[in-house]
Amino acid sequence: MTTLAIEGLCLAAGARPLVRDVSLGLKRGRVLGLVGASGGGKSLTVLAMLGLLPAGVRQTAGQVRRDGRVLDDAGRAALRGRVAGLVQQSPRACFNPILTIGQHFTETLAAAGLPRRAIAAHAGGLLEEVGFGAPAPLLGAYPFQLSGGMLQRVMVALALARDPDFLLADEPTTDLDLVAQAQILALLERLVAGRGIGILLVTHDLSVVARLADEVAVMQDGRVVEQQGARGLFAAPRHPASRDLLRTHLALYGETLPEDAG
Amino acid sequence: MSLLRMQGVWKSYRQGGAFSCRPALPVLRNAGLRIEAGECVALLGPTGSGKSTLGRILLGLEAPDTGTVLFNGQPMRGAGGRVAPALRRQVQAVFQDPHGATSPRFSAFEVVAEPLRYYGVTGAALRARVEELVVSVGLEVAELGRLAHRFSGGQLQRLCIARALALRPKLVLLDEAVSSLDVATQARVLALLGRLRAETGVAFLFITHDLRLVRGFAQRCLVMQDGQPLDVADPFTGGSALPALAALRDAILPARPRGM
Repeated sequence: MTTLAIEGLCLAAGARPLVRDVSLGLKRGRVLGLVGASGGGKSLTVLAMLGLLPAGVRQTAGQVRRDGRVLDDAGRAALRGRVAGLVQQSPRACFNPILTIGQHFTETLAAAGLPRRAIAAHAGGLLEEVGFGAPAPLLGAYPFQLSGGMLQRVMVALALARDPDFLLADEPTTDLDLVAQAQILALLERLVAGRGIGILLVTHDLSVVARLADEVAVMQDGRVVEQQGARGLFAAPRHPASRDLLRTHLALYGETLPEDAG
Repeated sequence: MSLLRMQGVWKSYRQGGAFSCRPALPVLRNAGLRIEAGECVALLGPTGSGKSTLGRILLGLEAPDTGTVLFNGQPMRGAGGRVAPALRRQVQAVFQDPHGATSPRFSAFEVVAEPLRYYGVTGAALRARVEELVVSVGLEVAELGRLAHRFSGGQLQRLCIARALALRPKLVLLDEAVSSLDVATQARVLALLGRLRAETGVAFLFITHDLRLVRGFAQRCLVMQDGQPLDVADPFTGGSALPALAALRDAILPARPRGM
C-alpha cells in the first residue's frame, strides 16, 4: 500500500519554534483532515513535506517517508506533482495572469514529458474530470475570465496532471462561496472514490472535515494535540483545543457541545 | 421615516468593450429595501446575485440606472451625482479583504486616523479618539505604532471596523466582512459587532453568502432572488423557501460526519 508520512517534524524561524514534533500519515483512498486556528503551523507542515519551505524557515528535526523509505531533499522535490499534487488557497494568486489556462497545462504536462501534440487532449480530459462539460474554450481563457470556484477546479486538474497518489489540499475552499465550496468538496470525494487518491485536507472549518475526512488531526501552536477518527472527534473530543473548535463550529448550527449542556 | 430607503432600483452592467453589441447584463431589477435606525439586516445571496452591487449603490459609490435611494428622507446623490460630505460620513463600510482595504504603508494608528483627519480632527483630540476606538474593538493601544499589514487578518479586520466607526456613522455596510476569517475569529468579530451596535446605536447591513452566520446576529433577513432583495421571515426552517434561499440552505455543509 502506498503511504506518505512525516515523522517528528520540527520547524523553526531563527530561534522561534513554529512546528513541534508533528507526525502525520497519509494512505491512498483515505482523507486526513488537518484542522486548527490560523497561524498554527498547518500550511508550513504541508510545504515542508514537499521541500517548499519559505526562506527563513528551517527544518530542525524530522523526516518524510514514502512507503517506509526516508527521503532526502531531492527525494522530496521529486514528490512534487508526481507523487503528491498541491492545491492551495486563493486560486487567483496561484495562476500566472498573462498565461492562458492551456499554457498552464502545457507547462505542467511538458515537464511530465508528454509530447506536445498530446497535451491539448490530455488537458481536456483532466478538465472534464473536474466537472467542465465543454473544456475546449476554457483552454484559451485567461485566469481573470474565470470565477474563483472555476479556477480552483482548474488548479485541482493541474495537480492531477501527473497522476499523483496524493493531493495536499491547503484550505482549498476557504476563499469560495458555499455553493462553489460544495462543488469542490464533491469533486475531491469523487477523486477518492474514482482514482483512489489519498488527501491531506488542511482547513480551519470543521464542517469541511465533517463532509469529507476519515481521520482528523488537530493542530495548536505548532503541535498535533489530538488525532483520531472523524466520528470519534465529533462525538468525544479529548483535547481542550478540539473542544473549543467543536464548540464554535456547533454554535454556527445553533447547537452546543453535549458536555456543555449536561 | 426609515434611516435608509431604496425604491425601484434597476442596474445593469455593459458587457464587452465600449463598442460591444452584447446586451447589458441586468443585475438589479426593481430592487427595494428599507433599513430602520439601529437595525441589523442580513442580505443573503450566492456569488453574482448582485448583493455587492446593491451595497455599492447604498454607499453612493455607484449610480443606479433608475430608482431612488433616500437616506433620512434625503436623496443619497445630489444633482451632480456626488454624495454630500455630511451624508457621506453617515454611511461607512467594512469589506471582505482587510489587506486590500488598508494601505501597506500605514501604521495601525494611521489607518484609524485617516477618516478623522479628513474631517479636521487633529492633535490630542485625534490621538484620544483613535485610542478610544482601538480599545473598543479589543486591540491594545501599545500596538498602534505597528504597520497595519503586520497584524493578523482578524486583527486587521478589527482595525477596519474601528475605522468605519470613527465618524460615528448611522449605517455600516458589512460586505462579507467576516468571510475571510477562521471560524473562531468569525465568532469573536460578530460578537464584537453586536456589542458595538448595542453601544452606539449604529445600523448594519450584513451581506453574506453563509446562512449560518446570520443566526443570532441579524434581526431581519433578505435574500437576493432574480435581482431583488426579498424578505424571508424564517431563513432556517420556513417551509416553501425561495429557490435562491433553498440553494443556500443546500450548500450548508453537515454539522457532523455522515451517520452521526
